[in-house]
Amino acid sequence: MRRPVMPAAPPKPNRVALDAAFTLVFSQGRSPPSCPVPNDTDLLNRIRDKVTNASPTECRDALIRIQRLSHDVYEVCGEFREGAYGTGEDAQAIALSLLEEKCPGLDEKEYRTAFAVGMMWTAF
Amino acid sequence: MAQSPDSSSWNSKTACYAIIVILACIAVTCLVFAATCAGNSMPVPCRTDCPSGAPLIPVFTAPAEKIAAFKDPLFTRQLYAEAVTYEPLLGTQGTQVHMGFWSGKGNHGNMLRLLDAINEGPAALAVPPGRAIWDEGVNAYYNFPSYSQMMNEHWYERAAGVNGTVIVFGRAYTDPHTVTFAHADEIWGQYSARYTDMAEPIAQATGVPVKTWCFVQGAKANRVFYTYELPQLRLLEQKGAVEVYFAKTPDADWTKPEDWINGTANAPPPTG
Repeated sequence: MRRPVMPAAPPKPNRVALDAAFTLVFSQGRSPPSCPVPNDTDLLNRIRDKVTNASPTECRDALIRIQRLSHDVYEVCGEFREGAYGTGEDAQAIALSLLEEKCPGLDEKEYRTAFAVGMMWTAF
Repeated sequence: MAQSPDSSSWNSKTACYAIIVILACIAVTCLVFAATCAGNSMPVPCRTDCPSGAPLIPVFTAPAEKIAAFKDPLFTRQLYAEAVTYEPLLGTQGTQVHMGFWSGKGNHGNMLRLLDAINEGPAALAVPPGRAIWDEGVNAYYNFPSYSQMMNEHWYERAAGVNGTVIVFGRAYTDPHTVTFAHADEIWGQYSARYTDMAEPIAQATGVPVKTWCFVQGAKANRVFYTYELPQLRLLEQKGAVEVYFAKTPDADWTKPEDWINGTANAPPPTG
């Protein structure tokens, strides 16, 4: 009997490429991820320019992870605004831990930055 | 007169010495210049990870001070002055000015597309010309100084601070003021209301009602557009300063009337 093939573990993200992608997506003012400029190709090229020793696959993986975060943070911040995590001091901590659960692999400062930017995106 | 072999050798040596002296002078000049630059805190040569442009330093304005400034109708005049400084056509008789509004997920990009279509399309070269602005600036590239200042104040990062410590661009700062998300929302809301009011001085200067284009499909009632901007648009519409259009679809084309709903009385209801 053939043994079932286990799915391969997702590749470990390249930390430097991840930081570069995060800076690009979350330091561009208030533009939500829907903004067509810059587009994915432009963002990917910028990451590759910044992290020359990372492979194209690693750069692409970093962009995908950060774009997923940018979409998840929009939803989480929208729910936070509606009081889905409560209204007390713990509400923000719950939102941050949910973000970490949905998009693992970043550090605390990055989750906090993403949350603040998400709160700006969802204000409008 | 023919030169003797000795004379030729002397000339070669002189030329060599002269070149060495010139090169030495250049080297010394470069060293002095570099030292002077270092003394004047000139930027050091950039590695590949250097940020471009000026360093981004957060500004810790008090929220009450900011809200008071933005509630003041004088701020509309200030914003208008900034706009006309960047784009004099916004205050020129005959210009058809367009103002963009958006709310909700995805609509920022839709608004940006319309802005570019006007500013970079045939309307920009028409006689009289058309110009499209939004609350960020006079086009997709040049922000209002007041907008840039507000971005530098990092209201949402400050509201997300924990025990007075805020994270801005990955660095921790101590905020001298307590900022809440309610503060941040009101600051951006009041700014947006005064931006909307700017249609009145523009219409007065150009003699043409401002066309306002709103991408608000799926927008919520308690966000900036329905809370701060739409009420001002209703007032301006009553004064004849604006014509208000609501996009029916995300890819609504401003040149196609069938893509738009006219008038604030027909504003699409918010969601939630």
